[in-house]
Amino acid sequence: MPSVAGALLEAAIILAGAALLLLHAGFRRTMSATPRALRWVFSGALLVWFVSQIAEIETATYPLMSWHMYGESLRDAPIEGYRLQGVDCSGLTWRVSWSGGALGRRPNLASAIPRAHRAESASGAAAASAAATTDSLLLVVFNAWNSEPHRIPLCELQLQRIEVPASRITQSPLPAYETVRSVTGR
Amino acid sequence: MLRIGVFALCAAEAWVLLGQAANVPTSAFHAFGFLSLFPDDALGWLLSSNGIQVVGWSAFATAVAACIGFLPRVFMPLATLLLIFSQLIPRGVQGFINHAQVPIILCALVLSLGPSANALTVWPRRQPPDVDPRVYQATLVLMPTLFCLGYLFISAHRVSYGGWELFSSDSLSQWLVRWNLRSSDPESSLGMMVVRNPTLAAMLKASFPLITLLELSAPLAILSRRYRWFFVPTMLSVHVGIYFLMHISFSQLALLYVVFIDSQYWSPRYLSAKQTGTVFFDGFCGLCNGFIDFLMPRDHARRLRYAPLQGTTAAPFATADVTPETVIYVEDDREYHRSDAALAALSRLGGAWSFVSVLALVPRPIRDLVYNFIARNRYQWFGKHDSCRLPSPSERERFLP
Repeated sequence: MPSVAGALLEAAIILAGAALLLLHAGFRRTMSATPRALRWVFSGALLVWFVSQIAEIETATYPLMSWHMYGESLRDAPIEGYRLQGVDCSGLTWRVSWSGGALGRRPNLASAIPRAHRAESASGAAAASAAATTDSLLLVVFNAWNSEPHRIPLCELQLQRIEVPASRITQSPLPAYETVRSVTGR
Repeated sequence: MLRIGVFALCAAEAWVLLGQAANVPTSAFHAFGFLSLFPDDALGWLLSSNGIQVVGWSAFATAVAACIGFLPRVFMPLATLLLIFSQLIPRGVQGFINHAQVPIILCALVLSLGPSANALTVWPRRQPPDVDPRVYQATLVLMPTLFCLGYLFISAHRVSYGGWELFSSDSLSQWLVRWNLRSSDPESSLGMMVVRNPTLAAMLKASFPLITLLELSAPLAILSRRYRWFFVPTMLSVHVGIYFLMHISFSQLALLYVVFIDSQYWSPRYLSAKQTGTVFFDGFCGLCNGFIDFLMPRDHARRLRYAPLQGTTAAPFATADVTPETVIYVEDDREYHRSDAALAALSRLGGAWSFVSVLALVPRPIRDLVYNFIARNRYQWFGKHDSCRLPSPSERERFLP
């Protein structure tokens, strides 16, 4: 939930920016020529967007949802990262990048797989369901990789996780990756 | 032309994004937006191979129809709605919204409802109505306004909730590390090098409040042309920097930055039903006469007039830089020369020929280089007549002395 003070300040800044536009005679003159239907739809959309922004409605009002990127301090929270590593049948490891090419033209899986794994930290049936989802998504990548004739076939695909404490981000090398899930085949 | 570009991007989005959701387990899908109102059965069908094919092809086909101007008043709003719908599916797999793709949707929405729907149409073939140019201008101004409001919203949130704590912390470095952990070799990535170098890290930290200030000032880019010349290149540079440091691509957003360009410099104006344009050409030139022969039967609205450069009508335009090689097109108070004239005359034919005006985006020096090369060799390649063209009785009313 957004804080009242933060919401008020945010609203004030946005309204100040809007006022800057509306107080400009040239802008007002130009906007007055807008077709009426467009003016009504645009105004309604702006209102929905403004309310979503202040109330921090993240997805329900898509595409007029809240925009806040890099808006709050991470407060030294540890940084989590994931990567995919493939193992071929002779034991050699291969890096499977998060690019669309490596993921069978599904770059969205670069976000979906870590999200599914993070959901495993929930309790009860949700955790088991999340684990099954993670494995299903890994299988999609595994099968897509092995279906490409120019790639070395894999016998195992591993999802690896790294956690970097905020105090260590400037230090080299990074901590070791840990395999958290894997799927096998062939 | 913005309509063509925006809906071409929409078509590309539909084509690419839906392939990404194919064969993804439904348990990985998180419905949001109005998809969250769908019953489970409907969602299940939507995420099936058939559902994705239907939605994807519908979004693609309507975007193409909107792009080429086929029943634009129908297909533009439909394409916009289907784009919103079709984007919800891969975003539901991704688990978050890619904000960089939202401006395309918003621009498509504005263009659907504005007078741009009347221009560059392949069907129905009709003359654009006499719309006040200010109406076009207002629609075009709405799009960069949306851009600037997006930046304003982002920066307002950052100032309100992050504030001094955010700008004085190492949060930006932490985000850089987070995004670089996704790369194939994070140890040697540019972002990690910046974070580990004290000087570069300090510069990165100092840039955060400056970029936020720039975003807060975005509305000024609408009001001041001079400020726009600073704002647009600087923001584009920031996005390029984000790409190299964090591997986050804003390609669609970068392409849409054309909405900040003053339209009067490159968007063609259209002749209303009352206006005529005049093409001045070299009456002795075989190529030029062939060009006139090409234009006349296709000028169904009979809005073009023709006059040889050697005649009396062309006398006021015979300035020092006008040679027999120069094709001139004149309408109202505007005069076009060489390749500009050829493109303007062709685009005034209407229908699919209107799309020729897109070639005006090729820089004039390049266009005229080709024009001049052909013009220098026109007699040799296409022949030279002994006298100026004599119009036939059916052509006489469209020819000026």
